[in-house]
Amino acid sequence: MRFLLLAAALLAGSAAAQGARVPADAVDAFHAALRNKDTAGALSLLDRGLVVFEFGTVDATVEAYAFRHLPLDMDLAVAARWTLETRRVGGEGNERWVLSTYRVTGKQADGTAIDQMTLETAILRRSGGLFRIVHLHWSTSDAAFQARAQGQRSQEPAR
Amino acid sequence: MKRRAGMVAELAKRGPGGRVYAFRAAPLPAGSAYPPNEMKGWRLTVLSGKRFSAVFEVASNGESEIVVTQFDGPLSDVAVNDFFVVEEIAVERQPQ
Repeated sequence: MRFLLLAAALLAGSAAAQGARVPADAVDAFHAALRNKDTAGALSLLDRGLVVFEFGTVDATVEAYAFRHLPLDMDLAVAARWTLETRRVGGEGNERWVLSTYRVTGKQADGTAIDQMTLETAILRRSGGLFRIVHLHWSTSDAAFQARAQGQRSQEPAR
Repeated sequence: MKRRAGMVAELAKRGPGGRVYAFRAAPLPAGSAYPPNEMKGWRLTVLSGKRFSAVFEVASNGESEIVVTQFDGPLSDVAVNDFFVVEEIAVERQPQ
């Protein structure tokens, strides 16, 4: 029984990502984890030094992002389809960047339509042979969505 | 997806073998309470501290007490003031 519990503990969440060998794969895996409501998988792709700039708000630590805004991003990822439109990658060695634009379409929980372009800057750091996201910056071309997102993200979580 | 958040306020006394599977939480936002046993079967993810991103399954809960199942191991290295989120979704485990 003890062995089975240990095995279960080791296997739980083993499908979750732990980083990626290719920087862009880490970004894509992060979005996939959000879409799959995989909180631990998403966290595993974030460097412990993460800082997030998101729609006018700042999460200065990975814990702040995980607690305050990751749930909102997960809800948006589930509610909307993110289609990658352009991507540029660069950097060298253990520090890389991935610049992406997405067409985001879908509906908010209240039925409001989403159809906008989201711009994403991701900086990744490699440690232990795997890249993880150390900085994310999102903004959007849609002023109304920006205002709504900023309003949501300026509030403490009330869940 | 329903979520409940909180901070670890006090770990339960160690059981046989020194293992801990329960803790008292400070539900967040402050002043709120968990509906008893609402979170049974939900996924708890640790959001700070040494067990950052560790996942457990809730076995039962009171207004501020949470017990996790043994499937994911004990709450080793989970500490007072660690933040967590409990989400209405099953813990995925690989078939054995």
